[in-house]
Amino acid sequence: MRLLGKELRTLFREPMVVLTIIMPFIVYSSMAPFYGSLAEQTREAQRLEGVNVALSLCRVDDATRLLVSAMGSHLASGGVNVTIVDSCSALELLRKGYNVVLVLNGSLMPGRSASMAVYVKGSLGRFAKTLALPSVVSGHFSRLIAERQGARVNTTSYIYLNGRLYSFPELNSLFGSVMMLSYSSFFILFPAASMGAALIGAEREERMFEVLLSLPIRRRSIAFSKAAAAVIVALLTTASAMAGIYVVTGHAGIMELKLSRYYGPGELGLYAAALVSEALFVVMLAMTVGLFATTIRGAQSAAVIAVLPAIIPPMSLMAGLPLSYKTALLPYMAILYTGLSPIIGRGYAAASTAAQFIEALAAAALFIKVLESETAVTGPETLRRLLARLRRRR
Amino acid sequence: MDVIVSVKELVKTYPGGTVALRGVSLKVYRGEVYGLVGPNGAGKTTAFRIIATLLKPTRGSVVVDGVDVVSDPLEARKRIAYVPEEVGGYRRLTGLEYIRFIVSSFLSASGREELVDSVVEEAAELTGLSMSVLSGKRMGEYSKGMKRRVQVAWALAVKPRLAILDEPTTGLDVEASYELRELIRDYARSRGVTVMLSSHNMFEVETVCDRVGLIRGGVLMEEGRPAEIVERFNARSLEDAYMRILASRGRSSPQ
Ligand SMILES: Nc1ncnc2c1ncn2[C@@H]1O[C@H](COP(=O)(O)OP(=O)(O)OP(=O)(O)O)[C@@H](O)[C@H]1O
Ligand SMILES: [Mg+2]
Repeated sequence: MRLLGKELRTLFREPMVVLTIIMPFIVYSSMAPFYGSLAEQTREAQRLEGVNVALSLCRVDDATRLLVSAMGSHLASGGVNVTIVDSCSALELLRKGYNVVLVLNGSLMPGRSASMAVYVKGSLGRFAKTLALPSVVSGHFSRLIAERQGARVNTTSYIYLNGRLYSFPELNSLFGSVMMLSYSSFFILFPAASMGAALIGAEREERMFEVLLSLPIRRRSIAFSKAAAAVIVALLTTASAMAGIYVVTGHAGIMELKLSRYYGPGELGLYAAALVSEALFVVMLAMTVGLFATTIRGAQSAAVIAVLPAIIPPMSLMAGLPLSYKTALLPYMAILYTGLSPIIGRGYAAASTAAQFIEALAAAALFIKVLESETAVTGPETLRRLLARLRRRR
Repeated sequence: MDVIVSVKELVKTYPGGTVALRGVSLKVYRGEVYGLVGPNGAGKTTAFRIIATLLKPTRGSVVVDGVDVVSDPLEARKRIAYVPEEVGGYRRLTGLEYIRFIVSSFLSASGREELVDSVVEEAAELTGLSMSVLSGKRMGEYSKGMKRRVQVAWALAVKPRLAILDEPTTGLDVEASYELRELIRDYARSRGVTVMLSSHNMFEVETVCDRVGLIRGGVLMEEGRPAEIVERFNARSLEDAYMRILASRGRSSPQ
């Protein structure tokens, strides 16, 4: 018991340990708004709330026309805005302001067959709703048709996004690629931040920081050499992870094939630049935080702080990403916008990546500034004092 | 005589509020070995860190070889070799790799790259360690004494204008501290390297240092040649004089 007391005190009096305890709560609770928005959009989609549906009749027989108007009024009585139009041109209707256009072709009479094409006007800002709507709409109608023991209906879905029409599976798989690019960025970000912080922690643990700082070396060189070493190791880790995935996904390399369908050399180059700039950014932040730790382990656990915000962009894509340059210029966004470039063009990705490089340089300037100050020597001591004072105030 | 270190009215208050130095002034001349002695917490390490550009003074100034350490730290660092109190060493580097890294960083900053090889060789010799240890083992495997030898060796071999050695012999065995003292006295003196060191060993200070400053509670209380101080207090040795000074002005430190 006495020994346990000593061990617990050892752990709890290390600020970085306290941080690792608090961090998961902060991270998960910071995701709450995203999950909230996801859930809300899905509910909206389920109820077809705020959706203008056009039931577009294209080459149908009179009986079908009657049936469809009955279904339309059924939906309308449920509170959905439904308009029945005679047209085969879904795009025209979408441009007119309908959010969902359902084009029926053929006959819904028993024994006959029809095709139903669902067109949804999508938006990146309500992406969860966009992806949910096609199945909700086709589900509704298939049920109504089935209740009337109608025809076999062949359904296809399309999403009209940013001036282009995508088949639902196509957009879904593109979306999967974007998410994959976003998440695989962690392969580089985590090791980069953790290696960078370790290089700072090691200086202190090996009692070498004072010697290093007293040498006639520019702080800039210290910062960029450590960052470069960390990024190089992180790139090797990434390469190893990719090779591992390649082995797992088998001979053909499923991932590769998919990527090259959406991303040309230009996009992949942008992706590499986005990755490197973001890695550089997190390394600089992680090293700055690492200045306040006394050990390698302490510095590494604190480095997580620098990487965790990178979860937010993919989360925000699922919930709804405002398509604006203002958002694109924020840190951690470059990888996501690069992933999205097949949909939104390369402009955002280029701007976002350029901004990320500038942010990395700003983070480097911050690190160098702290390195130049005496905090580089007294960092852990200062942090301990600060925490002690906070504890006393409470 | 040329003044190499000029410390004026140095005051240092740490962020927590501890006042470590309360207006210390001193001068160290070219080629001198200057010893700073005083009880634990007196402010020796703080003074050295300020001179070595690692801490910023709250007030006062430090000029090393004509360079203000606060306004031009990079230029000052080209002139100063600093060996901190806590001995360290990069665990994954061999002693020789370490020496080469430090020596080349130090010399290339002042455009003396061509000297690197010969200085590395010289430093390796000064460590007194065998080549099998220096190039065969990583510093993670070195004892404290071995690390200390490596540190002091490079700091002298690069022939800086000023070598700062914070408690260079603390924790060393009798033989090692004897050799280190010889090294400081003979090598530094013959190469014109000015040395500032601190120590808790009065015998060491008496035999190695040309002049001694006695600091307590951040105040420089006495200064002079060891023999002068011994005489001034009518003492048998420097240790005796030290005890008398502390006794005459109250034992406890003013914090
Ligand atoms: N990083 C720091 N933050 C706050 N106070 C400090 C810090 N480092 C030292 N001090 C305080 O400054 C005072 C002087 O310490 P310093 O290390 O300079 O003494 P010293 O003479 O080198 O002692 P020793 O002989 O034990 O090495 C002490 O009271 C110490 O507690
Ligand atoms: Mg000390």
